[in-house]
Amino acid sequence: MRDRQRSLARRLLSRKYWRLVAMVCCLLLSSHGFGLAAATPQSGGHLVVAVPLEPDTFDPHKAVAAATKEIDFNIYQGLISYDTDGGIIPCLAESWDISEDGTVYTFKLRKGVRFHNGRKLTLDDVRFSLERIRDDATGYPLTWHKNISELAMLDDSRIRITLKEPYAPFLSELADAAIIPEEAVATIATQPVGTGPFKFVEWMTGQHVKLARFDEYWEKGVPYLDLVTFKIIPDPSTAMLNLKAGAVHAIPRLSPDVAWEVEAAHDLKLLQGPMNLVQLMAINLDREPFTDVRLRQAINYAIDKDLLIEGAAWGFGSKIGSNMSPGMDTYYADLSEHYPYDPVKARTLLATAGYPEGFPVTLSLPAAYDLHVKTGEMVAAMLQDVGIQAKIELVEWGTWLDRIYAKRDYELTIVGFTGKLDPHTVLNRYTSDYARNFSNFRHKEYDNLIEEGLKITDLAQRQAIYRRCQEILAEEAVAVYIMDPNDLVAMRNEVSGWRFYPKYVDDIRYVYFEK
Amino acid sequence: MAVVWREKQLAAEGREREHLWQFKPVKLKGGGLSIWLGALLVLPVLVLALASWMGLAPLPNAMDIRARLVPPSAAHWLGTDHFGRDVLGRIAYGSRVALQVGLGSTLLAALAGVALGAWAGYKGGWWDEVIMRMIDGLMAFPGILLAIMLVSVLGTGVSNTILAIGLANLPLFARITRGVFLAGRSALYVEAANALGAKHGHIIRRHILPNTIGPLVVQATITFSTAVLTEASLSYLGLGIQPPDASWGRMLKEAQPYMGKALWLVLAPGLAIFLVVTALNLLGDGLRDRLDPHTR
Amino acid sequence: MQYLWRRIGALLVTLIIACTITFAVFYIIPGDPALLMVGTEADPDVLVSLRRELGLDEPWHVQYWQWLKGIATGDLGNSIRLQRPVVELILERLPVTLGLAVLAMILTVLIGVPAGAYAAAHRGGVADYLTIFISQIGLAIPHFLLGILLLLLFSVRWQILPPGGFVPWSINPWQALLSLFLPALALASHRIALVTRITRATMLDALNKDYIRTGLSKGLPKQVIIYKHALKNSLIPVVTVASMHFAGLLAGSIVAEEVFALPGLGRLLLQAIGYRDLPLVQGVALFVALAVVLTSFGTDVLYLALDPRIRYE
Repeated sequence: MRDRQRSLARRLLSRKYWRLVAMVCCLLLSSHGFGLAAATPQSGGHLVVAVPLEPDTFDPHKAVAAATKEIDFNIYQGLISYDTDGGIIPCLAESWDISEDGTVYTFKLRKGVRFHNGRKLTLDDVRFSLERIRDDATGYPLTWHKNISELAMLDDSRIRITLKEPYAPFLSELADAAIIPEEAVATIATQPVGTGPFKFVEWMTGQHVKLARFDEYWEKGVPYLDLVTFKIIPDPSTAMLNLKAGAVHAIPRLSPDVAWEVEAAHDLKLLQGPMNLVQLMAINLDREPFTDVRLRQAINYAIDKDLLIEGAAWGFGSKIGSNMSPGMDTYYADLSEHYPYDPVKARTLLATAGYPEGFPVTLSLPAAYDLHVKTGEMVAAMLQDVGIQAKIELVEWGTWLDRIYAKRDYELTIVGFTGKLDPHTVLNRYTSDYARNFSNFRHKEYDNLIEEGLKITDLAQRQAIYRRCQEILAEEAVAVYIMDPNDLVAMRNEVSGWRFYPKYVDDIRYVYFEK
Repeated sequence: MAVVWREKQLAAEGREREHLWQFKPVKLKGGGLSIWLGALLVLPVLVLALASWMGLAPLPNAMDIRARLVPPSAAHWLGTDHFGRDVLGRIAYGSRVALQVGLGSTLLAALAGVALGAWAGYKGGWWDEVIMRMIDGLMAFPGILLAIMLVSVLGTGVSNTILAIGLANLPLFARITRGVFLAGRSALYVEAANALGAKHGHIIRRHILPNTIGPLVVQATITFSTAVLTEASLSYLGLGIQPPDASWGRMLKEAQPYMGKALWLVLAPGLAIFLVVTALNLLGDGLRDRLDPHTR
Repeated sequence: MQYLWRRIGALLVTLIIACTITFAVFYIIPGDPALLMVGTEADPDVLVSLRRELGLDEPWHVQYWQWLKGIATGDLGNSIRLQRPVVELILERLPVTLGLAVLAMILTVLIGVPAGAYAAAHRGGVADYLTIFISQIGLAIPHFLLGILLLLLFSVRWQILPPGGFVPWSINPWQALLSLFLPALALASHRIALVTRITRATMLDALNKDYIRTGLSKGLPKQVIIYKHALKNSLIPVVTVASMHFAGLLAGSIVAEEVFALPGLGRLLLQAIGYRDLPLVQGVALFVALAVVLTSFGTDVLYLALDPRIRYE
């Protein structure tokens, strides 16, 4: 009896052993690309992550701040989610079907998922959450839900969502629709309850947000950490001092200004990934003299993007040429050399357009974003070099949103458009009737292409459409597309497992301390 | 230093009386040494401002990304910043801004404050009550807070900074002027002049205004120094002078990420602020001794 | 007594004017708070309903009246961005700012008074000159610059004090105190210098008084006379100055908190300005103003009680 037990144990052990070997091999292989040393994930520990901004509210259906999203990705989940490449993966729904015409989506709910309050997730929660998002009284900040015509529960595990018309980016936008339990709604803004790998512990405004491992999390093997604290430190130098002192273990989206400190310290490391952010200098096409495409092209030729990346981002960024980040490689068209730096050509274009002496122009910069301000200071100098008298004006973020973004009262401005998963969402903002088309770009062919793209599900066709859209933006010189800044993460050497996503999130699930 | 001098002088004279509220530097015609020392310290800043204005200082905004964070050298006496801009040139431009803001806001505060205070003090009664309660209300907000509030309404930049700091410093001028006017109104010689049928304007010009000059000049010096400090603080917070204009406070803020490897970036604007404020404090002390009869 | 009533009357008027100034200043601030709430993806319909919900479509006098009524009942409205009561947010941040101001005050007295007294007692000596010299620097150095330098020395070079940021009192009071020490020192520098000079001056004055001279001539130990009798008598003006500076400390902490990344009222205010969170900005500004007015009122009343000879006109 005893012998049998022992041999069984041995056999199990050996199987476990081989699995472990395989796992280490995989880790070695996969981590090779990132240049990281492989190590066995270790369970437990308390990770402190520095974040620059205060969350606004933990009600996932009302939150708008990126600062909230980066934290609550670990608390809330939707029916589906995305992987590190931005591809759609199952989450609370284990599978789904899409009808031929692209209007009917049927999701099958995953079994055995629990909320942080201990209750089992049911289809009623899914319906409740989606209904809450659809309800105008909630004031959900995104508008895709208006396209839903019907929600129907087929049985106790399948829900059917019918759209009014085909909408290709539906899945990628549904990934943000958090499923929450109805009983927690009254206090969800300050006491979040979700199904994510970490459950909420406390939020001390201006100080930190603390999360703890959710032991009944449905994904096996993760998370590794016991506790995660998101410490709010607005100033990058202070965050860096804290990292060096060991009071903080990781700084995501590190300011490139302090990256040199990581290189100077031997117990810190710097990881880099694409940010999926389009930094651009927008041009108000309704303002004279920017109605003339030659002038917009002149401005494009006058700007040395390589120097901007070096000067404003300390070299941490990739040059772009249209409104898409190279991180979205499925749809990306490389137009970064469409307007090479050529001040002579810029002057010639200015002269042929009737402005040999240049013209005065105001460049509005959002004061809260150091990268955009720094870029703007350099851009102004470059414009002055070709004779355009650029004057800088700094505006508060609130004023920027109101005056420049909503009322379109500006000439030139520098801003960053954050990552989206679907090319439609990225490029839709240039259609003539888009509510926030603040460039005032109006282009028949472009509008038609975007419209067409919504209804097509064939990948090759979609690629062709969105690549053409990017070309139009470049040819028309709608803006100066500058760079996709790198996402820098400074970490202490002992921290591993960080993953980069094309969205503004911090995924702590796979993070662990090395032995 | 002035104080050291003073102590020795006093010891030599065998006198031991010290003033209650401050060290009184030796009186070469009353506060002379402080005035001279203050003037001496403020001189380099004036020279820099003048050099910048006349285009003799290095260009403050010429960028050279390849030569950034270069330590002080023969080519760049105070080194370069994160854009490769010459720090000396920026300090020089910054002194222009500091003097501009200091002078502008002091003048604004003085003119508006004196006008309000004079009106309140001369008219008395309801005028006095209303104006002074408004002034009290303004004084409830500490200077920097009021300046922050005003700048966030008016917007940033040199002229709005001047306006905000000027308004924030107006109450003290109003109070001083009102005090002198109140005292003047009841003074015998004014009553006499009144009785003789002299015009209001004449009375104010001849009999009351001269008395306000001393305290106002002292207050102006103090306000000047406060204004320079407030401008530096506002710009440090990102609410004052805006790029590409160089400002000492903003230079400090911009230098902070690199202070571990480029100390000169912090020290240069820091010393500039320190120098100007010390100089103005000394000037203020000296002028008080010479002009303000009340504290003598 | 009549003076007290008049003083209370003036206090009330000042308070109302302070409220009005705060309201007026922020009523004309540019930027649409409702738009800020919904951000870059704003839907026009949502905006309109949001404005109505926030009372932003009311005329100014209705908003003003609502606001005054709120203040009277201790309700400063809700923060637009954080969607929580302003009073709650202020009270949450208060331990940091108040802790900073009080610690700065303690440092001021603890350093300024002994330094001044020692300098006076050793008049003309090296220590005296050194004190005078250092206090001259303290008077002229902006506290945020001193803060940066202290941070550079104590946290970067020597790494003996926390590099900015704050540990809540409730978690670790000692750590909380440590994280406030450098900012408080920087914030207090100006006042320390001032108090040192005043203490020195008043001590010198007191040392000249007859009763001290008599004591000396009677052969009482010099140290006892200086530190007991003379110091005691010179403390009154010191306390005066200290209480007068409480307002300055509150305001100064706005900048100090920025340097040391402290989550106090100052940072709450600056953040709120950046986000055009109108009710929050109004609330913090008003709170500071009220604190200043009430402190100065308290000091006045205290004087009245201490020294019946004082009459204000």
